Amino acid sequence: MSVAGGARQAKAEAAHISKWYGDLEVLHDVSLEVHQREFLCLLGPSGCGKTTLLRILDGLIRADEGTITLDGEVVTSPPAKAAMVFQQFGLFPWKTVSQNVAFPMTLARVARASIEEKVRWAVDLVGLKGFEDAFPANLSGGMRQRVGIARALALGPDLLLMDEPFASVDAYTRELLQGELLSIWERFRQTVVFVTHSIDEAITLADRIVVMKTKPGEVYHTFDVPIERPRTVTTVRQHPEYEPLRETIWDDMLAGSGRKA
Amino acid sequence: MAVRERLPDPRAALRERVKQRRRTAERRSRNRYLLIRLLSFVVVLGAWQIYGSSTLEIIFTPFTTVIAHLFELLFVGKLAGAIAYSVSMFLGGLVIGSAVGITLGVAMGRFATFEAAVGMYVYAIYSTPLVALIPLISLWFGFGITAQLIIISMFVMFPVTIAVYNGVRSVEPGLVEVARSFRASEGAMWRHVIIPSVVPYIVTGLSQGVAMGLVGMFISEIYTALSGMGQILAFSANAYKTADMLAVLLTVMILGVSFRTVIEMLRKRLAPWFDEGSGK
Repeated sequence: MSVAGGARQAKAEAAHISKWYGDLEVLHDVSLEVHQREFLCLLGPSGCGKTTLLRILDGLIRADEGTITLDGEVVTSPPAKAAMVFQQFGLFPWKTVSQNVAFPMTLARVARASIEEKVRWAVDLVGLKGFEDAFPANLSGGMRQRVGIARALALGPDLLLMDEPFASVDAYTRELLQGELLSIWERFRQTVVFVTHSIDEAITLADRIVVMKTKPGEVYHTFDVPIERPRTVTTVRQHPEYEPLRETIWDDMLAGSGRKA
Repeated sequence: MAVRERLPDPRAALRERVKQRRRTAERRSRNRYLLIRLLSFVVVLGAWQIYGSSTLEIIFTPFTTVIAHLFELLFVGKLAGAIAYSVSMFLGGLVIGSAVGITLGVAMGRFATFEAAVGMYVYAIYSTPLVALIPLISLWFGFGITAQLIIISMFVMFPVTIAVYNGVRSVEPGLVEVARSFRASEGAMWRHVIIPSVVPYIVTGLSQGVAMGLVGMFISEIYTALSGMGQILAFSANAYKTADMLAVLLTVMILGVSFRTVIEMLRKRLAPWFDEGSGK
């Protein structure tokens, strides 16, 4: 356990965030620093408020206490620099793959030629070439989330927010997508906040893992992942640090959710 | 995916054969259903013909006689003019009724305050048999074109209002959040999220509106000033001209089916994603 990287510059910062839903306190005094160009995983069991925290980071909902800053500016509504990938994909059924990917750029009034070029680039990047004109209903879950990822990446965001993006696809596809995300991220290295409840997924992807405890949601402990890049799903699993780290985090999560090991 | 493209497929021939077999099976079952429909048509028309020839002319007339009367009414009688009159009244009522219905449905669905203020009246009138309101409408608006248009519009309006209201209410909150996350303005939210979500519901409402509008058309023509196809129907009924009545009914049936076909085409045009795959 360590408090990592004091020397690194903060990209986004949550300061003393609290959030209630009615009488239920979902987040209690959460403070968190997301470093420039790091891949951060928020890890915790369901009900720990990690998705709520992500939506607060994106300015989609307001915290009852505390502030969010992105590059030093206070976030009150969804920032242009951030892009979100949603658990349920969030694709518009009436838009084709291309139109879905183009959607945020259309809203931002990007020039048409530039949109077309970026759509082509992003669709190709996630391996969906040839499916540009397909509707989401005709795609598998894995392919739909590729569209979701392409849509976020095409914007060229400084901050990529991912809300359990692989939780709705089958185990096989999940590993495939994890591998692809690794190689894409290792090329571009945007700052990423990735929410998951899977320890394996967190270790595979993250530079740093923030474990959250439940009732109310709080930051519990933070772990650095000492596995060098470039990684693949396989090299991570075979790494000597993998098992011990997995065990430590597992115990930490159990303790954080108030259960005995 | 990539692998499949790179390697030559040793089973291409088999795959082609399987595809071929499926196509043949599809064609066969299509042909079979076509045959069943045709047979059914022949049986029903045959029964009509036989029963019509064997009973009193006042009770029922053979199919061929009905067709003969239909052509006579069209080319010698007043049916052509009556169709033109009725259809234009119907279309007028359809346009007014759906415009009001869509507006009302959207407003009720999107603004809770408006729904709270107005929703109960909409439901109350919707639950009242509209025919019962006709004496009142005649009292207020007379027996002319205005009254007829109002009656047809009312018949169209309610199913459209209810369908559109349900459509607006069922816009997926997740998609609204996605659009918000990508900084959509209120206008963009309508254009990209709400309106496309509601379009299939509008088409469903229109399809019900067309059916109800035809009911309203006949009722307005029979219960206000006798006019259009309703007039011919009423006159033939009073004169026991059963063949003429059946000819008018056949005409309405054809009109109804045509309007529904147009709406179905509209659905395919406006909401192609609804046809693709699982519907949503």
